[in-house]
Amino acid sequence: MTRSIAVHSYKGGTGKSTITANVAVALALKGRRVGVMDMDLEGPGLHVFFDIDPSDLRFTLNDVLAGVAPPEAACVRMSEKMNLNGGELYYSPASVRLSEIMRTLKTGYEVDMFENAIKRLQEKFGLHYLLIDTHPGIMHDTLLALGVCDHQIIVSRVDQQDIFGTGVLIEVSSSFEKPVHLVLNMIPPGVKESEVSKFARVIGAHFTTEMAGWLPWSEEVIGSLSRSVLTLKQPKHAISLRFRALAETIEGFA
Amino acid sequence: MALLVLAAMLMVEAVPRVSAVESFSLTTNPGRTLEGDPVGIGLTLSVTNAMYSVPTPYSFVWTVTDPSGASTTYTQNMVSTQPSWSLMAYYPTNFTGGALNHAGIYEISIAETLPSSKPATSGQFQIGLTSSISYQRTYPVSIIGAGYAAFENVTVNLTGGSSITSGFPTSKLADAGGKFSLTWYSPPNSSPGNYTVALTGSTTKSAADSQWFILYPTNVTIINSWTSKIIVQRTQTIEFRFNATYLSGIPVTSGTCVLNIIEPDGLTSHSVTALYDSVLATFRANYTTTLASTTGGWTWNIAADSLNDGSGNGGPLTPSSHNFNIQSASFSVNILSYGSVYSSGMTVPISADVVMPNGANFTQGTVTATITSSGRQVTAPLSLVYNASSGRWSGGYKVNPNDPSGTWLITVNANDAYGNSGQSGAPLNVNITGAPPASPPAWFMTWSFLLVVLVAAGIGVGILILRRKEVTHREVKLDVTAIKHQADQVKGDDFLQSIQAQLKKRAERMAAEHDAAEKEKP
Repeated sequence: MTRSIAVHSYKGGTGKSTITANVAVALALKGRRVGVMDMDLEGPGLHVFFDIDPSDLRFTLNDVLAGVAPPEAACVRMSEKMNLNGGELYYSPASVRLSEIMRTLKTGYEVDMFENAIKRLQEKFGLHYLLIDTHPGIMHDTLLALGVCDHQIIVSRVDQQDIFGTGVLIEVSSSFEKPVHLVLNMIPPGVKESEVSKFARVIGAHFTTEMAGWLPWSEEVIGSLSRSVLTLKQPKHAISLRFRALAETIEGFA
Repeated sequence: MALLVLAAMLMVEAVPRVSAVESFSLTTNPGRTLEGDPVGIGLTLSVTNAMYSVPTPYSFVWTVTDPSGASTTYTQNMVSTQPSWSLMAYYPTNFTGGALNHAGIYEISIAETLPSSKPATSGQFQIGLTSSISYQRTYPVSIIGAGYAAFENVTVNLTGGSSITSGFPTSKLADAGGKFSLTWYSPPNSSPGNYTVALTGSTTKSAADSQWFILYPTNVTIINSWTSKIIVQRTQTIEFRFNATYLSGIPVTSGTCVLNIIEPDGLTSHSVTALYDSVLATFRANYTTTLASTTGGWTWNIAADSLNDGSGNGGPLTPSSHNFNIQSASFSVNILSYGSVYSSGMTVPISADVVMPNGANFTQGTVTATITSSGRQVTAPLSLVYNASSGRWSGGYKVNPNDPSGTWLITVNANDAYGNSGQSGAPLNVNITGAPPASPPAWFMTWSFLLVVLVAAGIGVGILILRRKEVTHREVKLDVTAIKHQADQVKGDDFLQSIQAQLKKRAERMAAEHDAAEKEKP
């Protein structure tokens, strides 16, 4: 059975796409069949992580949501390119063409089209996990998409403004009656794990969410300029181990 | 038959005949067909009040004269034993030398030769070159010719009024049986009125092979109506799209259609004109909502005969209606973040971007900032002023010595007279014990001052190191009440309730599908 997992955040720049790409690869490296959808239709960026030239793409998710292409036609098989040790990774990119982005924003999309795309990819590729990178914020289309997925991962920085919005987002997302998991990212250096855990307990006491993991501030991640997947490039690096741990937590999602 | 007629004639001598005046009528089926029709025309002669009390021989001669004036005949005999009966003949099958090779009227005359000689009745049928004598634009006009030589090159000309139709004259090769066919798809903008088809081959037909038909404008039907968003927030633009086809099924690719947009009261209406977009291959129209647009369920309608393709074809014959919902605008409020610590006497600048759902700046309304510390208001709400040059709402608050230290939350609320609103919060750190920067005194650069500064700096660094974790801890403090309050506002908004309603419907649909699948299992 496939689990669809939306990776969302209240604000941009929280590392949502970095986490999506690295966790997807970590799951694939464990032999899982993984799909990744770039539903950040206003500002897609996953193609940079996966080193995809947008001009090579015949179809994108925008075409799928507009009903002009089947979901599998807008999918790139990454397994061989990334040498994923028997795992499979299928990537559904969003269009980076401004005209198509504007068209999608202008017209929106039907949630049924999105849901059908999920189902089709799950059936076509026999996916174990489908990670969906969303557009940040409390937006109509995005919230509707969140409500369709099996799990929601909310990514937040430890920043007062971000935490405030994340709290609101968790409260709102919880009303969809789907499990909501929190990932704290870019934890400043010097903060001990016990402090993060304490903070997680505080959050857990007030909101309907579970802490799925936390990731420290990483110069390597920032230095990579989103051009590579660190889990693949430096598998032994501490941050890669964190991504793997997060992948294992996801495997334990009920 | 001859014996039967002879026997009947002998009986005539023995039994007096019943004198009668017969009535005759002729029907043709079909009344019109195409040149070379292999089935031909069925001719039925009905006779009533016939002599029958003794078997009476009847004989009829059927004569069919084609448009060239050539006639063929067929003789039919029978013995009457009933007062009413009918006879049938097929043209050209029963008529030696008969053929359906000329377009025009074929005259039929039937003469009785027994028991008496007299004209019985007459009629006619029509042979054409086209499948009908009237068409609507875009429907295929099927042209068929016959009676030409095998593989003869036939010139087909089609004229509407006095003008030549595009694509004509054209040539067509007859088949081995001297027949050919050609289909003309009349364009949507073709001239309505009478058209004449004329065929000319090297075989000289004794009558001109031509025929006219009438072309009428056609109707259109609306298909694939689509609304860009079922739910829109005020200021957003909603797009309507639909496709149209002529009755023949051919897509409409030009023209305009006036759409009626009806407010929730069912009375107030607006209209927008949909134009054909050749890139997207669809009719489209936009309707831009305003901050004052009525919230609730709206409809957009395509009224009967509201579409005109620009060539006189119109429709639809029946109106259609589609729903969408307008909700209050939820403004996006973004407060410029605070990087420094403020102390007594300093003015905290408050600057916020307030953006409407359509992406434009919110410029007219009320925007206030509320400053709280640990849930308590530091000061009364401050009014912010819109600055057109920066595109931001701004104001400021001067920190008083009596204000509390710690993390303050600045909450900016934007709203207008129509009930549109938005809110956001940003924290800032305030340390009342600190003094505002002042002008350096004369002793600023003395050695003793520098020594004091160095010692103070050393102590400061030490305190910073010691308090680092505390500062971090303070950064991640949760104002649970404020968060819950904000979340409740979002949850109570129509915006979220519509999402929840859609998700609920989806869940119910999936449950029904699941139940149906379970039932189908053996």
